[in-house]
Amino acid sequence: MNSDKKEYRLSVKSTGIMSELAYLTIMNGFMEVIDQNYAVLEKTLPEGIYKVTLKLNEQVLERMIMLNQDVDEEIPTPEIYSSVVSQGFTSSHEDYSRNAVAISKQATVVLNKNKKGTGSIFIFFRYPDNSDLSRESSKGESLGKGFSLLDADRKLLCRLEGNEVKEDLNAGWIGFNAYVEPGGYYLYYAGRDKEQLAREIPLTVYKGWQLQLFCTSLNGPQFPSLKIMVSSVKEGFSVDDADNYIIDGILQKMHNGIYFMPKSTFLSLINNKWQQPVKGLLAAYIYYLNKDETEYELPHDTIDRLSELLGKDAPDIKALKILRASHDHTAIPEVRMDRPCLFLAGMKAAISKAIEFPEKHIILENSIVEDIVDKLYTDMVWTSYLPISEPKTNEETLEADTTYKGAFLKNIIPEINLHASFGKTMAFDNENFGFDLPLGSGSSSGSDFGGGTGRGRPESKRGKPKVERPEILNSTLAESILYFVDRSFDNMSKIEGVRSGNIEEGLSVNGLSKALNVTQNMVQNTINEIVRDKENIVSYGNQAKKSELNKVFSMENIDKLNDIY
Amino acid sequence: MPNSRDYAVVVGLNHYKKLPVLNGPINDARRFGKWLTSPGGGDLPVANCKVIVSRPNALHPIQDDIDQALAEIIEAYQGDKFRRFYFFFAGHGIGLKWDVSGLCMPKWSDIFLNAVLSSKGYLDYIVASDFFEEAYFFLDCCRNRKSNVSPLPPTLGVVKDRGSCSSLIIHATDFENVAGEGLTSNGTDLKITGFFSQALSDGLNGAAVNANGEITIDGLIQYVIPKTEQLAIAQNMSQRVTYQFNNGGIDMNTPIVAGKKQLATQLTITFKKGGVMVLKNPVLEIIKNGYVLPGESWGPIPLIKGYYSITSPEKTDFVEIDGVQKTRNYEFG
Repeated sequence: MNSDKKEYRLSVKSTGIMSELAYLTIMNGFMEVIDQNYAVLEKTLPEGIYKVTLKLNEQVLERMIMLNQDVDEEIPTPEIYSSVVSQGFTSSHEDYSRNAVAISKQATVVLNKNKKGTGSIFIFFRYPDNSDLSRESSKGESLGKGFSLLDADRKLLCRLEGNEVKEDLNAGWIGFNAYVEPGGYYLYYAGRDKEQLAREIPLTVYKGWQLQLFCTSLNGPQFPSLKIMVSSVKEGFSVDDADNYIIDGILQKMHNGIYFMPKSTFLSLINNKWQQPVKGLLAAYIYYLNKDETEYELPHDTIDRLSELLGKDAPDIKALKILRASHDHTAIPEVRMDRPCLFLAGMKAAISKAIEFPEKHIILENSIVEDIVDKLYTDMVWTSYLPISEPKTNEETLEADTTYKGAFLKNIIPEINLHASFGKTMAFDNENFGFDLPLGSGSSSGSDFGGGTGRGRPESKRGKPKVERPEILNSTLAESILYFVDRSFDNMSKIEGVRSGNIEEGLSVNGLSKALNVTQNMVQNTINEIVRDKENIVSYGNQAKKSELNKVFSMENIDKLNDIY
Repeated sequence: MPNSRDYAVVVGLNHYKKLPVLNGPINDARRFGKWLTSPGGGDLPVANCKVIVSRPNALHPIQDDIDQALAEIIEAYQGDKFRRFYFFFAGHGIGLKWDVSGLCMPKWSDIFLNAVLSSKGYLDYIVASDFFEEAYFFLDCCRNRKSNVSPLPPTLGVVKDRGSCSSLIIHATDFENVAGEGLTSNGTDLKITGFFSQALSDGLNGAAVNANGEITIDGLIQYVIPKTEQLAIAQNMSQRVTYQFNNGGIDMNTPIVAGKKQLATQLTITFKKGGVMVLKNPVLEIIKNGYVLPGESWGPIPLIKGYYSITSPEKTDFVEIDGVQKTRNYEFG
């Protein structure tokens, strides 16, 4: 190479929607990375061939540069696909946008005739694109099929169907809007089949704000595409809100584990005094999750400000306090999580610290949060999980709907752990070593929480001539605990995870909690359940085929549970 | 002279009892094994490289098979420290923690929930047992999170105190994400491979060679990360390679392989139109120029990895030589 080469300025800039989030890279002619940054790059470089790449939302654009003079290169961002039906997104058909705007401004259902809520939940699902192919493959199925809105007690408020929604099956969209009081709600999805399990998404509505959920759907919802935005109830959804583009992009990066927020966005949030709740939460999460140096500092009173806005008991506020403590290397705060966060990152932080510091009791025992610790889905930035039970109705019982029951089950690697909840409606498939379609009537009580961890189990069937399979045998947590026991205490030090627990004096609830990534209370409850059901387990084992019972459920192992402290 | 102090366990699992069949792992494992034993690659004696693959309708290998291969290596230990240990795994996997992958064995199911090897357990064993100076783990598997799984450490016990083994572990994907496989091409073959395995293979087989003829740890990583991403994007997927390097005496500039020539690709350019043409190298030095007639060709011209330009009076094309292909034909005009 010639060291006397001339040098020139290479300036690269992304332009267009989400340009602040476009990641630029310059590589030299030998394919070595020279520099990387968001939105703008400027370097003085020796004469030569260079390649510039722009990455955004999993799309990559490339430009080759012949640097034999100063070069100013502008690269427009690629077409962006999003479930949000804003104008600038490629996938936003005008029909979708127009109807979304209209529905966001007028309720499709009145949930409380006596009082109009001060907040709102607006939901808009639609085909990935407005094409004949989508119409053909949807087979005229409503996009709201299987969805229900539940209140904070998981009681059914309404289903997303019939007169409660507006929809156009031909164009492929469904809209729902209800004025509701501020507080916690759940969007419940009953599931579809083995590949599309039931799911529940916790929602929090704030006074004066409309929570907006957008998702693409075709032969079932495509949950990873779910975007949750917020706008004032009065304004509803705006198709040209510039913030929507940037928030969409930030969420997409968060989904990919990249915690980045452009300085300009951050500053606008500060200038706005964090008044927009979800954006404020997002900014705080991004800041605390980001491990790299940032161009800005999060004001120390940010969480206090958000707390004033959202309430100090808001789950995400508690989670942010935990994240702040980790970030600032300060003591873990005294918080009790009793409701799930909106952001999955908050749930993960709470679970992680609850296991690390059991004495803090970060997760409230026997709460819904504890119940979902091992049922979380991790395919989107929002918290969602395999529901702990079917929703409660006024009659406490939902109509049997056998179409959906099997959707709680899964035989291939799930993102979540399947505890085989709803034991009453499930059957063990002897041939396939897994859980298959349910046998029962599907009328399990809505209040039957925690089948997976062993609590709230139905009346045992003692005394019957043939012992039915005890529900605890379907719990993988029970199986995992007994697996540790089965391997004898001498070998415990070799087992991953238990190493971090106190294993010198034998197997402990604390050690198991850390090894299995669940709370101590869950471990203890499961142990209690196994011991309590010992008689049934042993009886069932005596009559069952070998393949029907994992050998770890032996009397010897169950007796050893008494040695766990 | 082969690297007789280097050893490897290479695992490729296509077949699972309860999980979807994969198409790439066995080929990926065999290809990695081939690189390990080739004189221009890892240069291991064939006996030092244990390749273990799955079979249709069988529940093997099990953990004992992997551990037996490892034991055979350890049994060869005579007191002089071995140099390197390579561990390659391609198959289904589970994400357990940010630095722990569960490597699913063929019998994995909801019942055999713990039929997964702990990547960290095996790495810890290699590092702690101090038989080796360097350990390289390449793991091409998904890392979706799953609770309640207790991954299995090796059944071999640590017999030595902790030593000073450097280690590099490269995960095909980030924690809680998937690793994909799909049709990929190395210029001559079209086959189904893991994106990460393909990038790794390309890098080790020449694409990651630097100007000094070395494939350094850093150079390999810098090649594999974008290449994997590129292969995944081509299949409408997203995949981000992550790695952890534990410096026990070597640094990121340490060559994994040295004394390699940068692979030259023989480029043949065929001109559709006539005129004065100029071929320039990555620093814009002229390699060849002159007047050509329509249909005339230049080459084969040996070119090392990089970007090249071909210019006519009307236009400029850029040609990417990736350091993997042996020959390339380019039509200009």
